Amino acid sequence: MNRWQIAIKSLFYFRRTNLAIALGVAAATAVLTGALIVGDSMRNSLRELTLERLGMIDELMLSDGFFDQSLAETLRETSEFKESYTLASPAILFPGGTVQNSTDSKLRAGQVTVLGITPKFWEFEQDQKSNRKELDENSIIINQAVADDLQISNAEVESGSAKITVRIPKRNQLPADSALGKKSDLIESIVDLTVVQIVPMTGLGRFGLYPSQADPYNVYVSIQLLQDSLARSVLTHKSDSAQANIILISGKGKTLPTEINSEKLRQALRPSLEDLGLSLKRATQTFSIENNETTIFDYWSLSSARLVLSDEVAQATETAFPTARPIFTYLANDIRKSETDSGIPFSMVAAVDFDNAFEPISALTGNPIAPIQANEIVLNQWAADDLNATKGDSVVVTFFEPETTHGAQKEKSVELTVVDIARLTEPDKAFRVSRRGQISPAEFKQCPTLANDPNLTPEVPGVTDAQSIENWDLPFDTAGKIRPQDDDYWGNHRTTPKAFVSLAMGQELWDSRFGNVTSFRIPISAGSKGDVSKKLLTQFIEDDAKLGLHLIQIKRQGIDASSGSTPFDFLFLALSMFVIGAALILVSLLFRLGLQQRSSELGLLKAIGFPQTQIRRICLYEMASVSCLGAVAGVSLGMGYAWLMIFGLKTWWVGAIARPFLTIHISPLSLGIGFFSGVIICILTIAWALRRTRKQPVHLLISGQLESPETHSSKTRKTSLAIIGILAFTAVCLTATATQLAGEAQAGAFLGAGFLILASLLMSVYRVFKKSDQLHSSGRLNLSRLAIMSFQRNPLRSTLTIGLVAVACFLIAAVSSFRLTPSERGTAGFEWVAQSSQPIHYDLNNLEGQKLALGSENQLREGTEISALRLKPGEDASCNNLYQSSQPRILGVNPQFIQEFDKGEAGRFAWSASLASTELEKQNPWRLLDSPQPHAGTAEDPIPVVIDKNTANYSLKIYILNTVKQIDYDSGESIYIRVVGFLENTLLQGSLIISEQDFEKAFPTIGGYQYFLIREQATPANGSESDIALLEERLSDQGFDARRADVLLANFMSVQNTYISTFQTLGALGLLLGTFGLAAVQIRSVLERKKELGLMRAIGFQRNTLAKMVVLENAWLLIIGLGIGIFSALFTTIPHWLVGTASAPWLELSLMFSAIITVGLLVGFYASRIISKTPLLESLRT
Amino acid sequence: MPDFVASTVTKEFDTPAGPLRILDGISAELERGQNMAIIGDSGSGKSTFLHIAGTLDSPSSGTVCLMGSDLTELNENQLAQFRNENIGFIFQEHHLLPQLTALENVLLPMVATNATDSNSIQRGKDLLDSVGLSDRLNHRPAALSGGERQRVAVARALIREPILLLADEPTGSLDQANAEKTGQLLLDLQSQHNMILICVTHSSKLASVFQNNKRLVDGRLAAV
Repeated sequence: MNRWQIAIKSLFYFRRTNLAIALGVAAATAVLTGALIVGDSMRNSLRELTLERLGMIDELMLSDGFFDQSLAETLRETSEFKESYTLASPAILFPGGTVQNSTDSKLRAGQVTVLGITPKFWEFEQDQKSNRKELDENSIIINQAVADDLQISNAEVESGSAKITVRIPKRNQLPADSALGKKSDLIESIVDLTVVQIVPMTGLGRFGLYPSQADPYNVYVSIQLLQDSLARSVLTHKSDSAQANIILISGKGKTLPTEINSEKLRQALRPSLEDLGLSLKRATQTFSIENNETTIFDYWSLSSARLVLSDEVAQATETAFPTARPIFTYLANDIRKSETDSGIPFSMVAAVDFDNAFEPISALTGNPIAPIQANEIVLNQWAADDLNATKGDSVVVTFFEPETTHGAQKEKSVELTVVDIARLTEPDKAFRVSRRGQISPAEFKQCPTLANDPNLTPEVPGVTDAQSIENWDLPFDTAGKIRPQDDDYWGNHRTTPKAFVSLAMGQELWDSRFGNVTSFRIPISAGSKGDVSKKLLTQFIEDDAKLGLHLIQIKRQGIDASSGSTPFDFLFLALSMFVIGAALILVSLLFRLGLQQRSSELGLLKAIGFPQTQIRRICLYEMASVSCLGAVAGVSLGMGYAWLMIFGLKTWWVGAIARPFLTIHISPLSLGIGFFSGVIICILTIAWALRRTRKQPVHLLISGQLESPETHSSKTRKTSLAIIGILAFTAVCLTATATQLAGEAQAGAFLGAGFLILASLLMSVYRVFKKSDQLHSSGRLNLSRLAIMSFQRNPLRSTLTIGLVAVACFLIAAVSSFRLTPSERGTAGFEWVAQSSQPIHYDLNNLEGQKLALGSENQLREGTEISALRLKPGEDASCNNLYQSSQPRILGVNPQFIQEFDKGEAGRFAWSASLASTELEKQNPWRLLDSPQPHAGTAEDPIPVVIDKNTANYSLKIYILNTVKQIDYDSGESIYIRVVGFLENTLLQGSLIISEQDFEKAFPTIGGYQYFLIREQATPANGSESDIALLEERLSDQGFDARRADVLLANFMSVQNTYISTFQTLGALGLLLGTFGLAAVQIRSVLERKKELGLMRAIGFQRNTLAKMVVLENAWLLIIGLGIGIFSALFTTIPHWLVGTASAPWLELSLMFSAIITVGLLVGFYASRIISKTPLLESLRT
Repeated sequence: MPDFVASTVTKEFDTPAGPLRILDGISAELERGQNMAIIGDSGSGKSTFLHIAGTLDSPSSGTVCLMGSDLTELNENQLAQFRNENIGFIFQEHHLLPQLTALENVLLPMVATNATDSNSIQRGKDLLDSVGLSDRLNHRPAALSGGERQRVAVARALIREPILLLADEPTGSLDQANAEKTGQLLLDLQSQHNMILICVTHSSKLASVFQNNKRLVDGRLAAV
């Protein structure tokens, strides 16, 4: 025989007690396993959504601009592609479209992804059986979400009567915020497309760039339809119809392409310069006389479709071609001699340095013009003659500032000194422009000069290909200012600059966030067009220049994001901790009761020479076996518990996950972890319960005393009284301190005070139970007193039981303090939050801007204020998005927004913490975003950012101020941010907020405003339209959509409130389990006291009376526990309710506690029935 | 030096009313083969003295030596080993483990030192045979009468051939017939195995057949 055999025999012999313990183990294991399964289910459900929305698309090639769609074909032919990939298909994607029901224009949807696809697109579906209709230039497919918003039914689709209008941004080469960028007429409408199919919200019907469980709004048209739309807005002679801006790529097999494969593919990409939005053309001017041809100039001109070259392109060009020279050509509104009334309108001025690389232009004398210095200007001959200007004269050059604010252009002037006149040859035949915009060069009979160079100005659609200046398609009016000679100049010289300044001067005057070089002159000796292109492209790769073509591993990113912003397994473990705690306490109590009965067995083993370690080992072997059996049952129950939790998340608690998308996923690993965790924590609980018997003398163990009664000396009594006093005093101080705090700090302080009161009350109860040993009996005994005395026999056990009930009750009630309700500190007084799909460039706060944006006959009421914020699209990092966010949306706030909160008359946002140090910053922490210069966004100079605390903690895993974090966007930007402030429970959740200045530097190509916070002047009760309705109607093409700020905030808060409700429900479940445990303890206690109860029967107590006594014992424990818990909770919640923002669902809590008391009493009553069944008198005889 | 020596053993208990002295300087000496019965009123401290003698409790002062080893100097593990090898206990309530058979209960002290082998099993069977229970080897305590259970307890106490055998009211729970049998059995086995036997009992009749009779009064041992 060995110890294991003793353990196994004991296991079966004491099977009733062990069964009860096993049930406790099963409960704890079930909850543990269930929480793990919930976590698995969440992760796998999110992963499934990702895999579904992407189908077989593993990678995407995204472009800032457009490229020739044949790039996809070229990619497919590379060996790197053939090695690891199967499908590649071009498409066009517009993320910010709007759609409108053609029949009922009020039915519209914004933030729609418009996809221009080829038939190959559907080959990326996982489910190849799905039948998709073919698309032509008049048809469209929509997904169910769009169909629901536009109220389009399948019946209408089948009858062919469903028609919608799609609005997408026009393809504007020039940034809208630049001086030449258009601010209006930016939307292309494709009207009356026939809906041929509604695809369900599965598969590629859910396609989207960003991971989110929310339903995306998608429409699908043929790629040719969008290409035709794009073609209408490019240079007419360069109408390239076969354009795309994404390539969808699928890997081989089921495993994802590795990062190495992806990198190889990226290296294998061979875009042309045109694909990168660059143009390389040969600028040649020759002159032939008597069969002698002279070359005036011959070079390669590199320019950008976006007017200016980015810093990266400029740097790479200078590296690849050190002799290349940058040129910065700008449009001057007016050039006139100082102190004169008239000048030359709309002239090109080129900022260029002359050096040995390129011959300097010649003066009228024929001598080369010296390098131009600062504040100097060289006029060409035509301009000098027109102005009657000579060397030494002062001229004023007027121009629009290179960046506009709210669409408003600002003029600026600079006075320069004419240092020379450049010779200019008039052509014999002027330039000719065909209907297609093809330009034939002018013809010269006299030798042209270097100044006769229109190639110094880059091509601008609508300008450089216009027939005349009056046809220029610019965002400002040129009519009425053009003189006949200006048009003549245009005809003879077109974009030839009328003046020259130094490069440094030009960059100083016209530098912007978009760039400060419009073209490069590359010497012809650099090689052929192919050579030059190849060298540039190679340099771009070497420099790792982010030129707008980005290969992203979209599926891998989505799967990584599926780990979730909130670890649901840990969350549910935390929420279920009471159930686990109650189960473990039950296990401990039942074990100790069983041990109590077997204490003589322990004593005997010690007496016959078993060392303590061996005795413990035998017990643990037995309990380990019980735990294993319980854990096996628990794992099975855990699956049921998880199913119930998931059902709850999909129904009562759907507020936590936004959409009921969850499905249950059970992994063997989670079952294994749950099993072993359950076994281990139960064994540890039992081992802890066992160690208290270690010091008990053997003879006492043999006589059935498991533990010695603790002596309660006067010193101990005084110490405990002092501790109780300190706890109570600290609680009162903490309460007083809490009234001076706010937000979560206040809630935490009140909760802490409540806990201290709870602890002091429990200690007092324990003290009273201990003191009763020394009380002299007054002789007054009644049933109630007997009941109290019986559970005072084991003060520790009784206090623990009361403590379990009290702590559970306290937490369930007190956690209500953390319920959030929308307040003005969350909205800062803003009534509406709006977002537009397309940027709005005008200032909606002034009449001029309102007229431009809303129409000349419309204006907003005085008192309506609109704060317009910049928007960098990204992932929703609010608690509504369960995916882990890595590319959060960014908002840019302008100085007016920041300054508005200096006084905060209209309202303030609530702050959790900030790095405010000065008085002004403490008054208005938004000031932390202010700085004289924009930040570089590098590790050395990160951009200061304000984030809502929940967004920071849960989505971005940022917990402390001053954290520096790098964020890489698929669109190529990579920035470093530094956290300077946490907002608390505001409507700005889900975004990072930076200054507009930093925004423009980090994202120079994003113009206009797309996010609006609005304070609306009240609408008079005369039936007139509200300002919000006017904005939504007039800006519907831009997809302007407003929501009530308090509703939005409540929606954010509902997530946290849902978790609180879940905690309270699970806490109540734990309390219920504790109540059952209480009953189990009572039953065991009755069996323990059989002889005692038998004696009471013998001396005349009726069975009913004894039963009542047992019920009273149970009731007292329950009532004392609930009383202490509720009192402590009230201590927490009432002050918080009075001075803070707490609210408690009093009715629900009252019902919950009433239910628990009722169940507890019923269970106690059941326990008392043991009295009637147990042969009490007989126990006296044995 | 005698084989068993208890020297001025004192035992006090703390109570709210002040320390209560149960044993007041008890001394006793016995050699192997000798036996002693201790009688006294209920609460006189007889069991307390027996527990101290068997190292189930520690004295407030004084020493207990067995075969030259001062038991009050040993630590917990040493005491457990010493008890296992040298002391056998028989309690009033037998304290058989209800989940083990009679033979397994007898062999239980061997499990403490992993010493259960075929020899020890045979020895257990022989012991049960010697107490007249050879046909009850595989019966659990619930299937045995009160007297039979006590005989199993006696066999268990002897499995390790202890030097000292301590019996605390061994016949207290038995009827007269069984009490007499058990009492005689104890003495026979003690004599047979040359052990020291100390027995605490209420029964004057049982005490009368012991070599030494002492009465515990006011915390001291006095001759009867």
